Amino acid sequence: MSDWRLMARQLARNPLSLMGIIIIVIFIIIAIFAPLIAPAPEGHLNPYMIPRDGYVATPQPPSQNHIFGTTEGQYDIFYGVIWGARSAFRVALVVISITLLVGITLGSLAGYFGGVLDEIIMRITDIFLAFPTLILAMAIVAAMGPSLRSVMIALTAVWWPSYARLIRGDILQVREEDYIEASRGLGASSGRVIVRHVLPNAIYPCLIMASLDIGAVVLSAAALSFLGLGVPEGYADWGQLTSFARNWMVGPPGNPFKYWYAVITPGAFILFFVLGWNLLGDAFRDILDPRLARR
Amino acid sequence: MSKRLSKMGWIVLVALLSLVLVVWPACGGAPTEQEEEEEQGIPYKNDGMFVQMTIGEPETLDPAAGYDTTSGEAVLYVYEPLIYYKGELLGATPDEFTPLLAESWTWNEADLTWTFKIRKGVKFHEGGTLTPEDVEYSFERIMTQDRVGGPALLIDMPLVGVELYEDTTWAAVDASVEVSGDNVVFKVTNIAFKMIFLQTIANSWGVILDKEWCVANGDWDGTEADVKNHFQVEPNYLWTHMNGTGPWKLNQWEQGVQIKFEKNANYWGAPAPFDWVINQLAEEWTVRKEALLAGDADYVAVPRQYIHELDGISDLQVNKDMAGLLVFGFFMVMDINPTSPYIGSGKLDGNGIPGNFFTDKDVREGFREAFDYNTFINDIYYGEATQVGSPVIAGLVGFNPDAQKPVFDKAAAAEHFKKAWGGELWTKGFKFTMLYNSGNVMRKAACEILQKNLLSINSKFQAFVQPLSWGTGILPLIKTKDATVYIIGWQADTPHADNFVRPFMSTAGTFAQFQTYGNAELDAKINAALLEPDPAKQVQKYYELQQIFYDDCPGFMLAQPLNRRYFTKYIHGWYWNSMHTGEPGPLYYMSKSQS
Amino acid sequence: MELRAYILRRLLLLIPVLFGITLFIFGITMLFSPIARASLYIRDVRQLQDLPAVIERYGLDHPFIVQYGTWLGQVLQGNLGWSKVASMPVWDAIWHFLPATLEIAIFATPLIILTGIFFGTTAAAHKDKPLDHGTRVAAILGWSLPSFWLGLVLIMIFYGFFRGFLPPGRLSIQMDILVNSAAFTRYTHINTIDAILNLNGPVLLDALRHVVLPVVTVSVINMAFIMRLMRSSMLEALGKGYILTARAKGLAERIVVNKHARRNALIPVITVSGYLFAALANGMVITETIFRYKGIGWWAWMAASNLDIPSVLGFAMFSAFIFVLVNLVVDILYTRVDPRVKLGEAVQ
Repeated sequence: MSDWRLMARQLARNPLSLMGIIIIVIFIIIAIFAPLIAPAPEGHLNPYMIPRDGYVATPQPPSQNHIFGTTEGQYDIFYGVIWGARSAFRVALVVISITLLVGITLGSLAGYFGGVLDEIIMRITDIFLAFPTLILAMAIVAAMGPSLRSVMIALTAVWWPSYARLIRGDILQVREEDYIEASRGLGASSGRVIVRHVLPNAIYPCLIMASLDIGAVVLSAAALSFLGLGVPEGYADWGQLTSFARNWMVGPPGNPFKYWYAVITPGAFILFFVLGWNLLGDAFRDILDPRLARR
Repeated sequence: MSKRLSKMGWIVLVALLSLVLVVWPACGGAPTEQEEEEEQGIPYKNDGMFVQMTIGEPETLDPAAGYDTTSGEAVLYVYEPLIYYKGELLGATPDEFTPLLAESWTWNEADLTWTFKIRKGVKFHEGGTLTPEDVEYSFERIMTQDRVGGPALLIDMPLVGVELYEDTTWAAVDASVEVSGDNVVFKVTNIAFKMIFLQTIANSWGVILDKEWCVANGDWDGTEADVKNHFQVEPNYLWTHMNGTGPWKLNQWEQGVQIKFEKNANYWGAPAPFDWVINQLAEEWTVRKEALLAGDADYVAVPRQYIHELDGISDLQVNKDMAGLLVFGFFMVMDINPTSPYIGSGKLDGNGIPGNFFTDKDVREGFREAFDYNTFINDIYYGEATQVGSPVIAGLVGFNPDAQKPVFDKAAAAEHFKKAWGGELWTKGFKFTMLYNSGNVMRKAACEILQKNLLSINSKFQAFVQPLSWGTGILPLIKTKDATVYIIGWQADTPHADNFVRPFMSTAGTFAQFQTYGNAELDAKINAALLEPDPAKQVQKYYELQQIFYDDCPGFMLAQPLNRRYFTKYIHGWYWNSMHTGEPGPLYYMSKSQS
Repeated sequence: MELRAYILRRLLLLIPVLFGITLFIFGITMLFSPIARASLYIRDVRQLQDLPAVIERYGLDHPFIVQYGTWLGQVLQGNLGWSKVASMPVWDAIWHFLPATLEIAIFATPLIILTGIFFGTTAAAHKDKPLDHGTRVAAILGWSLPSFWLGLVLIMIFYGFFRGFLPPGRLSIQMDILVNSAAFTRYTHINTIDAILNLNGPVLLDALRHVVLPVVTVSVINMAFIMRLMRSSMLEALGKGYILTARAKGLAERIVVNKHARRNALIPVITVSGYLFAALANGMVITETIFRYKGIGWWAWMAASNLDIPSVLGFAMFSAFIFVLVNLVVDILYTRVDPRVKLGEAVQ
């Protein structure tokens, strides 16, 4: 318990990590209170689809009705970025948690038991690692239709192998340690040994990677949306919003930044989200490193 | 403590500063230098070359296989048909065509034949000489190879009366086109095809190949015995190799990048106005725009959404308001598959719709009046489209400019809905899903307009909108009748009203059959209109068909778009012909110069 | 373990991986009904009547094993099938599109590695000072930039504003015609290399002008990975005992950092560089599309969007091959650089 309190204090002391935490907390608040901050208009069937004010393609600058302006197709940018925070958290948390679960389970089994099980699991990992991400995402979306769920499945399938490998490597190191031998000598079952002794010591690199990967998952989801492999058009998703800006990057000659509001705002939200998690992840690593070295 | 705070404060200050530095110029504060600059003109580059940037590339270079317009465009640079549309005319009479590989053509009413006198002294790029046997070969080839998804059906219909080679015989194909001295004689199956045949062959699928060259490169040898070795076999040598008689020849096709044509020095007619025609693939709009403004492209494809980004640039030549022979509209399926996942509960209980939901005309008319046509045309097309009431559109002989058009009227729609299904629909409501092909902004907007208005008429009228991929998603669902309401477009094969009426209204029509609309009486009327020899009476018959479509309301048309074409000011001689394949227009009649 | 035997053993690894991937892809396509898969051969509603013929011709309603077996049989005879989206055989398509991607990868990889190493070292050496913070934030900024955003901004500036200085595409039209004519010999289809081999200055210059922007776009985005890795492994190296000794002996800080810490910190960077090159060689769809620099990434993307199965399978096999090859090279390099690690050991 005191370990965690010590870690928390170290996190708070580092100005960058503090900034990261503040950023993340702001996003959490935005995500939770989205229906209050950006309420859906009446009769709007699905709050995750951004309401449209007309159908004209040209983005409109910020105004009273649309404080961040509208993007291509008259989708309200403010509504989109606010509810996009929800989509971002959903994707990131679901993907990372399932990835951790699957990766850690398989990696632990492979690392601890070794032998044939290890070989099989490693070959499966290889297959997934060698699989081109784009193709997998494409196939999943084609089969299941564009939706947030397709994105989550596609990203999970691509992400878990690196965790499996990571935890396997750590376990290979840890299982040779004396206290593991001792525990086994005392008659503890394999499962017990893994869960109570091996994992707690081997898991830190995974947690570090997970916090860094949250940002990466959101970026990948944005890239998929951009390529049309992600959420349906008009879904409240930062990647969607940036892709709407694609053809308005350069305005008419003489006023190239005319549509800056469609371009900058969604990108800024992605940037700060990624920044926050990265700062946090970096801080974790800086703090946990001495812990590892202490062993 | 204070040290930590000041470090924090420092960081925050830097972050804020960088944010400001990023946002401020984007707010329009920076580009004063560019505003002060005079509008830069478009420089003159690549003399003697026509460079265009488009968003698609040919699927195949085999004239008998390509049905898409990009393939057709490439084919028509290199190959030539017997005749072609003259100037802006649409081939309503036999003299509204320009002679190309045929010098003259005569009609024999008794035999129902067209006799074409084949031009002499024409050479193919690879050295062969044009003979009437080449013409016979080219037509028999397209009919017997009958590529899946290809244009053969257009040649089949007038010559052998069916759409698939499987439904006819070699004897029939052989007999439909024969060589007679310096002439080639085509026999059509019905007098109705007299002008339709000419209109059909004036296109990329009517071009003439060099028989000797084809045979030498492994293609069909012209005999009945060899037909089965080439029937629906793809790809073949002609997929990526071209040998035609046209003003340009193929230089190189760099798949995914560009296709280059160079001038044919031995062309039988006046030399081509461009030494090179280069068609570059550039899917990114910004890149196309910058290339046009930099003078690196003479023509680029400008999607409708971005037309106003090119307003007011003096060195650009903008042609607009050209009516294309294209129309699209909503279609309602009358017998939806009961197991369709898009009809909710499948019953009229407020949670779905029954499979025969659209058989009630009040429902269909309600839907028609619930669509906001003006908003659709103004917002999506910036006003550059015309509303039509039936499949017969402007530019077709038989088009009725005063035909009844649908009107957006929510009150009238509500009235229809209240009467529908014995009054039950109004109280119970419905739920179902409309599909559109993902990526198609126009169709998505149309579905959403309909959705919004239905909802505002009655909050229980819930139509959901869902995207699916066209190939694997929507097309199969149309076939299996799982789709409920969808938008389809139709582009003219020939500029004849029958080409539009038949698919939408006849029992076996392309769309009507998947909707289950059409009956024997209507079929008879359609055939009667086609076969009517008196032009004035024929026009009346088509007027009647248009009214029938409006009255029956199996679907409702949305718009006939008006097109724009953007060139630099250095391109001269362009004119519009709605039957012209390919985007930039009649390159052979255009030119490029600095003056 | 002997080197040759090791390489052989690792290459044999390719077989189960290839089987796994291709079976997986085939399995996914089998999720579509025969009608849906047949619909890929047509374009229009009008052609729906052709579907039964298509199904029969291509055997689309045969069981999974039969279809896979047919495909496999063809592959073993050297026929990878026809790429619908490229209008050429799949094997040809790979070699048609690969040079463009390699051209970018060849320039981008060293640029990414060198800048990553430089900034990572700098950040580590000034840990927790403003330079460290600034570098890290800048790297994250670069990484989270959407690639199309950066690419289009660069085009706007260097092509639009600077009047065609750095254009999109691989070559200008005149150079392109020259390069495809008899006056120029094609060796690799990588324009810069071919220009050097042909001793042709103007073509080389033109090719370089066109490759700059895609390379910069790709580099800015990927640099963060190397920078971060270098920073953390430098920090780890700097914390080691022998560094303390060196400092205690009074060696200059610069020598401590550059000579002692960096060499050891480079080890994980080698690993990542290998994966980086593999990732680049797999193509970068967005960059290739925006800059009209069509490479294998664009082709894979078109194939996947159009469910052009032979192309998808061909690309997946190519991708797997690169993956196994790069892993092998990296593992061998690892043993050369770090004498403690022996060939065949589990490597992190």
